[in-house]
Amino acid sequence: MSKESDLNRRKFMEVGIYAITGAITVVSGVALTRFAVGHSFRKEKAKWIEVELDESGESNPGFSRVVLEYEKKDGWLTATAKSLVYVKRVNANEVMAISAACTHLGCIVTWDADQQIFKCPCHDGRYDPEGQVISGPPPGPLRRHKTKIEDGRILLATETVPYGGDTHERV
Amino acid sequence: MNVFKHIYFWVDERLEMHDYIKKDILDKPIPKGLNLSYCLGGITFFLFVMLAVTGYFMTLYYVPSPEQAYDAVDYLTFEVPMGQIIRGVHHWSGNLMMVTIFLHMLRVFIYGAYKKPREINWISGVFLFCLVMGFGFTGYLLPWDQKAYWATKVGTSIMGTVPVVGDYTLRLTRGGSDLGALTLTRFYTLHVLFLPILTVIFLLAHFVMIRKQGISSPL
Repeated sequence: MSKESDLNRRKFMEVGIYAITGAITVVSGVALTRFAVGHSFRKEKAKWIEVELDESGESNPGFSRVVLEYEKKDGWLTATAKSLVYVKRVNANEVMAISAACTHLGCIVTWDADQQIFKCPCHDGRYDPEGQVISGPPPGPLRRHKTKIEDGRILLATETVPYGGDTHERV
Repeated sequence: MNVFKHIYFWVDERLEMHDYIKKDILDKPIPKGLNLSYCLGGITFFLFVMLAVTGYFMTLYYVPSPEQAYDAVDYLTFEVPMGQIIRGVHHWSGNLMMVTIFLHMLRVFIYGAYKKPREINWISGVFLFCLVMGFGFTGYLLPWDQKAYWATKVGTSIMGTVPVVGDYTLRLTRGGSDLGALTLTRFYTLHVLFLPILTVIFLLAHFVMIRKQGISSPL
């Protein structure tokens, strides 16, 4: 056997080993990555939840503190999700539903009736009664829940849209 | 003489490690004029060992599930014998380690010990620093109390503010759009499996390099 063909055989084995190792790495890499990512990017379906407002008209501008409670999948668990919403009636056919999740880093803002502002306990973000930023770190206004009124029943969606987005569901 | 020495010599006759261990590891000469600040890296490593040991044992009781994590931590702390001390050592070692690793890096920086030929060791140290911060961030969630939940909510939301890749990083870290069961198992796995193995690899490199190159002489 000549020296050259010996080298070719050696080269063939070398390339073969790299190819097999590479293939195993790529295939297992793809599988493991997909496994690790899991359902991180799954979109959730919005739910509509009926709420009742305290419309005795005591606090001005009359926000009702509404806690949306709904069943939600949390991995293998079914958890009860709770989100706080400040709801106010605009007119007979419209309500305004401001999400209490601060747009800075997601803490829960509280309505300060004395100062007529929303305040965030984490980094002192402040918003006016429309949810517009007055001061502090929040990058934008408080988000709104989609709303609709059907036969006088007030329904809020679990899904939120940015301020200025279309919140009014046409029935 | 005694049986242990006998075993030692029996093993060494075959592996011939004695000279290496003695000369290059245990009796390695160090420069003159060292002070206590040169102990900071060693103290950090000692704290890492304390964390590893107490952490391993805490996994006997801990359950990374939103329904059980808080109660499991409560149980292992207040009902299991020595629970408070084991968890306390883990807690305080973790806190202290952030301090000592920072001071260690400060010392290396001020003494210029990161300069050629020790740049690679400095870089491995920076990776170790990042890993320690990763331990801090992931471990903080595990008690699953209010402080843990909101700190992680804020921390992961900060990831979300990064332009372009923010939302992807946030979702991959949380395992979904919201903080929940999947976040807890992720953080748990990172805290007890992925970060420790990476840390051990980088520590080995860190130590082999320091033994190979020797520590730099004081100013």
